[in-house]
Amino acid sequence: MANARALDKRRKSIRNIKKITRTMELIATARFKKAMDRATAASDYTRRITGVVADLARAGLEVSHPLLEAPEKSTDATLLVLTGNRGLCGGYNGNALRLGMKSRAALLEEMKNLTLEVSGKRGINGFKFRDIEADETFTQFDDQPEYAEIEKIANRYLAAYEAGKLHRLDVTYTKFHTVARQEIVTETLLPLGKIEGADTPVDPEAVAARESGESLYEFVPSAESILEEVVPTSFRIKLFKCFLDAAVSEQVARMIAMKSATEAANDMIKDLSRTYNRARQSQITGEIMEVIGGVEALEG
Amino acid sequence: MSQLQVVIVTPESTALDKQVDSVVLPLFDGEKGILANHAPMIGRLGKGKLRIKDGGSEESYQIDGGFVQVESNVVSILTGKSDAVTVE
Repeated sequence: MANARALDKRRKSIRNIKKITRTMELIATARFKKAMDRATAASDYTRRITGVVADLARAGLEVSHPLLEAPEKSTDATLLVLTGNRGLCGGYNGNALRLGMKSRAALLEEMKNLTLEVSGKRGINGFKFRDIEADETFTQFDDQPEYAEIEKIANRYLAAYEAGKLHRLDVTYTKFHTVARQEIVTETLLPLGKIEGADTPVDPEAVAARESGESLYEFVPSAESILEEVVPTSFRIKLFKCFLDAAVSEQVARMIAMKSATEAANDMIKDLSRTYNRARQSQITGEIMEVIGGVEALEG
Repeated sequence: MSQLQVVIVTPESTALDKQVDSVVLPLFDGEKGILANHAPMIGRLGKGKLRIKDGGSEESYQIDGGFVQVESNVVSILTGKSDAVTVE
């Protein structure tokens, strides 16, 4: 029979760990809400940009831009893998890393030069463990990525793409659908392919109005100039959305992992309490037997 | 005087949403003032100061690039440089 005191000690330490996991769960919940609010604000911005693009397309302007076309050469690619800075969030980092490795292998077959960029300490260490050194690493992104920071990265990609040094950009990240469903994906962000709202059907009346100079909208300075700016902006916001989704998903993953850790601790405490009580009972019984035995020996 | 609604949206938040008398926009090729009942317009913003007048008070925001959409007395300003939007 196990020692009652040892059981009690174990039970106490489980209780302490439970306190920690419970707190982490609460923190993750709060951070998730904040991250979610930011994601909502970003989608408001995206919706408005989409609206502008749709208006441009409706006016009969052909939405074309170098960023939308596939480049002639395709030798240089960049893979950006988004992971978290911290662990204790279930399979979140592991899944991102696994798909990142797979995407890397696939890109290496297709492209001559591959630049690997990793965000998050977990991902950096994960790749290092597999003897892959990332060309560029970021650790400054936590649960609330700043747009200004991401814009810098986006502008670097845009400059490289325009200079013809980069032909394709893939991003591996955890896409957030709902609290119950996140999906790990690799998306191609450059070339942009098409931007949302661009396939709005052309309204012949709007075209006629634009040509005769009495458009529904007045485009200042010109529709072309706006388009020139709208396309890079929608790339930046798309990249920003990737970071936001990854941040939200990380918090959700941590929330769920910590919730199940707390539940597991509860089960263990229950089990241990039962064993402890039994051990204590049998110890007492043993002691009584000893006392009775002693008394009988004296009497006899 | 009739008023118009001005909304400033950045990727991180909606920085401003209120009723004002007039707005002066720093467009790509010069400044432009907007009063109530302005014709629908989509414009490209440049770098500069956005001035908002309401009654006697005037507010200004520093913005850098983005778009503006004017439609039915709503001025939506979409700007990326959220950190540069500061109240003076």
